[in-house]
Amino acid sequence: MGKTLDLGQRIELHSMDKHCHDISLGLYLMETGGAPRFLVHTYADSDDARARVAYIRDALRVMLGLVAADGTSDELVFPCGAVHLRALKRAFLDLCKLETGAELIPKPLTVHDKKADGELTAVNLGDGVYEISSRDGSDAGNKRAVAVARGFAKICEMTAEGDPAVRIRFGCGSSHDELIGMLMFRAQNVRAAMQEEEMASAKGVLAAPSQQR
Amino acid sequence: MKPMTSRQRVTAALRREPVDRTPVCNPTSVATVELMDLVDAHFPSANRDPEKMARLAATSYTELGFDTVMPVFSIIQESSALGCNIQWEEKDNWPTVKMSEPVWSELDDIKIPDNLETHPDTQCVLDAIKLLRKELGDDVFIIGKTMGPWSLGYHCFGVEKFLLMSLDDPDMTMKCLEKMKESTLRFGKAQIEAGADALTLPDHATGDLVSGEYYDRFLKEMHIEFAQELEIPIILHICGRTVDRMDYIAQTGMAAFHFDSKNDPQESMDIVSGRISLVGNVNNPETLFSKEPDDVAAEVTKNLAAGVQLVGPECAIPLQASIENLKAIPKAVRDYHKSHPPA
Repeated sequence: MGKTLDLGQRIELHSMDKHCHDISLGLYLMETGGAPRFLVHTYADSDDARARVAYIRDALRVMLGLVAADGTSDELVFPCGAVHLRALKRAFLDLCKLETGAELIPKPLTVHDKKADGELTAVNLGDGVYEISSRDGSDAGNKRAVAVARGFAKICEMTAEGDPAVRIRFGCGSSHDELIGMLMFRAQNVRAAMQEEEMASAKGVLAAPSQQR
Repeated sequence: MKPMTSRQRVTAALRREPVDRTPVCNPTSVATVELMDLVDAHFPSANRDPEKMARLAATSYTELGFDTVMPVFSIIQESSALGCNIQWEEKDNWPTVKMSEPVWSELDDIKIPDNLETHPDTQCVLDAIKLLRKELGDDVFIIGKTMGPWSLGYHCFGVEKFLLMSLDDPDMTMKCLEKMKESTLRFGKAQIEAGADALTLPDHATGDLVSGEYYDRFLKEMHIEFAQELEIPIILHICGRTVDRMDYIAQTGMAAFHFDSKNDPQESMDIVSGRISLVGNVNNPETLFSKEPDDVAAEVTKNLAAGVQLVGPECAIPLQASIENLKAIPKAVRDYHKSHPPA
């Protein structure tokens, strides 16, 4: 009798958790009655592993705004009912970098931007629309606002709007302040995020000796 | 047809005899990080500790529903015994030979040590095979692995130096291969004695670096010799596009060729034309790693429709591959045979 479970589609994997005995943490997407639900799971069997899963689950709630699915304690949903796959995958990997027990406080919608040498804010305009604005309105700040909006469009699969294109829209039409705050840093450095994803996808694939160095 | 055990099924498929269904087989590795957690047997120690090696290998049968188990996940066990420096890596990456630190540079350097079979990293494989036979009984097909001399040449001389030698001094290259084949034969025979049902023989004359003509010139005769000397079925493994050498491979007398997804299943079956079984060829880096069960099933079905005798991943699966994608392989085989009874 096998011990593996039918958990739906594994949408992301943190293959080696330095904060918990190198266990692997998977994020699964389950379609229950047509509604997407998310589950954090590890096949490691220890109290520490269970505590780690509980912490990451809490982090998904607090830092990304997910909520418990009806009638469950461990399955999560976005309040809007959408999947937001790419954003969730990226944010999950970032949350796995937190040590168990680290305080969970949603990230602010205003951040310092080194290249703009000033602050950028994601302003919630309602109906799932956010506008990236530079507090000082400098040329550099306005250019960076466009760049960050473009970054969000990529990593959150949002639609960029306006001229200049500093508005971004979630397809679900709902607000996601926690998600936007969590991924602001990634939207500022989208190239680095992409590179990290590429490196992760090459890891663990056995290359023929002729391809190894 | 009477239901077969996994061992009977794989044995028959390697002989191109009738089967109750197409066997699911990976002659290289199906270890993943999640399976490591499940049985508490992680890389790198699962490559060096026989109990962990056996525990992790067994999951391909007990958890995934494959017909075979393969405890030799890596391609470096005997290279370690030959003196190569090994980068053992961590849980989520493969151990590799440090080929930038070659241990041999000329013919006289090649020495197959007396302790080849008793070195801890080869002994581990032998002990794991014995443990698997004891734990899983006679119904499961256990595959061992012994590296061919071309791969050992890369490991021990370094890829660039070995390839340059093959261009500059083909006679010397042949002499080196002749000396290195002792390792292939001795480690292979030790695994047969330990209870392996078949041996995978990776010999990386890969499509990207070596032509079909090279295979014919340097390796074909030696592979014929391996098929004769090693008295259980041999499964040759070469990565990459290899249709230009499949006709030669089919002449070796080996039981099967484990082929890469860069080769079309039907084209490959046409070339080998019933002279050797094929094993494969579900794509690893794209399909098993990052696509979904339906995509896996589509590739399985393409192989089954072409008549490929044993279906499975094209090579050692990525350590991060998902369990649901791996389980999709045997499921797709069963689903296919509901409407297409095996010939």
